Amino acid sequence: MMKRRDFLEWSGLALAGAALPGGAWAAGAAGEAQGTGEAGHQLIQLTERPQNLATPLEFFDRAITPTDVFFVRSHFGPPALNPKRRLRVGGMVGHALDLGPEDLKGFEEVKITCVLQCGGNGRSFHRPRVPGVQWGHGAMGQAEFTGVRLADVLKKAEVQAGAGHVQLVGADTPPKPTVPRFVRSIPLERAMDPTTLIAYRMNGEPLTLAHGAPLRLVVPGWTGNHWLKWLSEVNVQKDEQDGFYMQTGYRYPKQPIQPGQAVPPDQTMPLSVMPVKSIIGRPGQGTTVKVGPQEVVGVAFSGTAAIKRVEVSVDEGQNWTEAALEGEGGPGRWQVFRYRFEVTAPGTYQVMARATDAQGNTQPKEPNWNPSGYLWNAWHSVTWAVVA
Amino acid sequence: MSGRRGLVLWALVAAMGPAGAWAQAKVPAKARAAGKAGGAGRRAERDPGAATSPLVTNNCLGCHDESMLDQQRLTAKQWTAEVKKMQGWGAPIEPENMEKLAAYLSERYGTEEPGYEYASIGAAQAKAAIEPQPDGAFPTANLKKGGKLYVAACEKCHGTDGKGTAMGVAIADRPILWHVEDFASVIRKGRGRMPRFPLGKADIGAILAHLRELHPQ
Repeated sequence: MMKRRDFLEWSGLALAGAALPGGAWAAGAAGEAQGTGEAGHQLIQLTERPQNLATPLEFFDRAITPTDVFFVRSHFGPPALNPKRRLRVGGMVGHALDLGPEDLKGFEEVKITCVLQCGGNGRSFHRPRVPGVQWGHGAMGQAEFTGVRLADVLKKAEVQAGAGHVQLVGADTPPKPTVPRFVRSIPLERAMDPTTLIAYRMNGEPLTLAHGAPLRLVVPGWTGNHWLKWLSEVNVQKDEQDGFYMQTGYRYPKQPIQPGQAVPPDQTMPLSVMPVKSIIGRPGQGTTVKVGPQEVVGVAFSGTAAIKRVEVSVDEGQNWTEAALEGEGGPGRWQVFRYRFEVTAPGTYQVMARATDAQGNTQPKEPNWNPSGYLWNAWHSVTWAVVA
Repeated sequence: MSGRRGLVLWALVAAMGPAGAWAQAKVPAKARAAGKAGGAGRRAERDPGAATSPLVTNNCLGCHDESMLDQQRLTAKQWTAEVKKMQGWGAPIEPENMEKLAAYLSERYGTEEPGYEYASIGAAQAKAAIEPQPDGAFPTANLKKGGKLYVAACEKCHGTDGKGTAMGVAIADRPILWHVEDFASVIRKGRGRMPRFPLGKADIGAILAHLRELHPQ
């Protein structure tokens, strides 16, 4: 295990390579975290216990994030691995279900490629600072998930009239009985959406324990806090779930506020759809590239709609040029963007990216500050050195 | 359990009690910094060799590792709110230590501190840290003995069902039950307010057998 000077790499204000301490540069950027092969794959470790890991930005240059470097977030850490864990479906249903792994084979299998992003991704860039896991940009990834539609399971259980929400419970338990359990709910409408899956495979392999084995929810377009891992109970109910993780945590101001402004609880709403966002994967902040062709590659997505365009600026936002978009788009699905230009003079270069989705939503220049530091989606900027 | 060893353990537990147990709980910062996954971060860099404050060890490290504190950059007001929130959730902070802990954290991890150095971890190592590992040299079949040892040494803080109490964290149905080396390390070195228990492999394996049975796979 080696330390990285990630604060340099992560800081939006970080200086170019020339200003970096030589030692840090050699050990950090050129060293372990370049991901040149599976054997060399590294994650950024935010906390060891519980395990919270971020994906290095260099992996944001492709459609699919490899599972072994896919970010990991959990409040309490996983339960022990139990491939036979059953899924109980109850509450306001005609008949409750108790499903084992084999029982899910009775439903149509569905595959969907989409972005999983923590609601707190980018928290460390909010000013004033806010408490919580201090994510850089690495709490996101895109994978192909395989599973069955939650709607199909609920149809089999026969949802009763008057139901409004679906409670989701995982098998993970808090460290003490006095700590609130991580229990969430999603509106029934979202649960019945054909893209909402109970998944058992990720990138073609059975889910790993870190990613929710044996079953997790997949809610494309919505923040990761809805994607319950180690899913063990689905209960249909009338109202939105009570408790800390719905009524206090994972909430966002209904109206824009000033940085640092307090928000009364009744002026907040639960997180749901991810706003439009783009992140530059390469070049890395503070890296060094030779004079000649430069390639800027990144990913862009929106929870609402497909990406319409990604623009890149090399003059601090005065002029913008459209980057090429690659791959299939859609709500909650990222596309790779690529922009090439030529550099003949050595020096320090900066590039910024901003994405716009098919509904016209576009990234703000400044982040929308909020008390818990959710949904950072300001223009991402990277500075690198070009040498002869 | 064998008669003599059982008696030794009983005596050990009886002698410590809560107060004695808590007084012992101190993790040297250097040991943490040298640990397999870092997390000692900025504080250890600024104060090389300095011990982690007992305020932090006793009240935070049962549930968190120190990096969770290290990476925060908060005002005194924010730290006070965090400490209050954690006490509400069961952090065993004595009333007289509430202000002291908030002041300590505000001073160490205030808004003016320079950037935090994140650690990195190999992908394979991260996976192995939570997925089940072989039991190796620890015999994990002696359920009866494990039950007795659990009652004698663990139950008071971790609860009859292993789901934790005001004193100790939940240990039932956790990945650590399938990481016998890590489990043994926590027992032998302590963690947070948990004291050290100098147990052998047979005893540790037996306790594991009992805990696994509390929540059968």
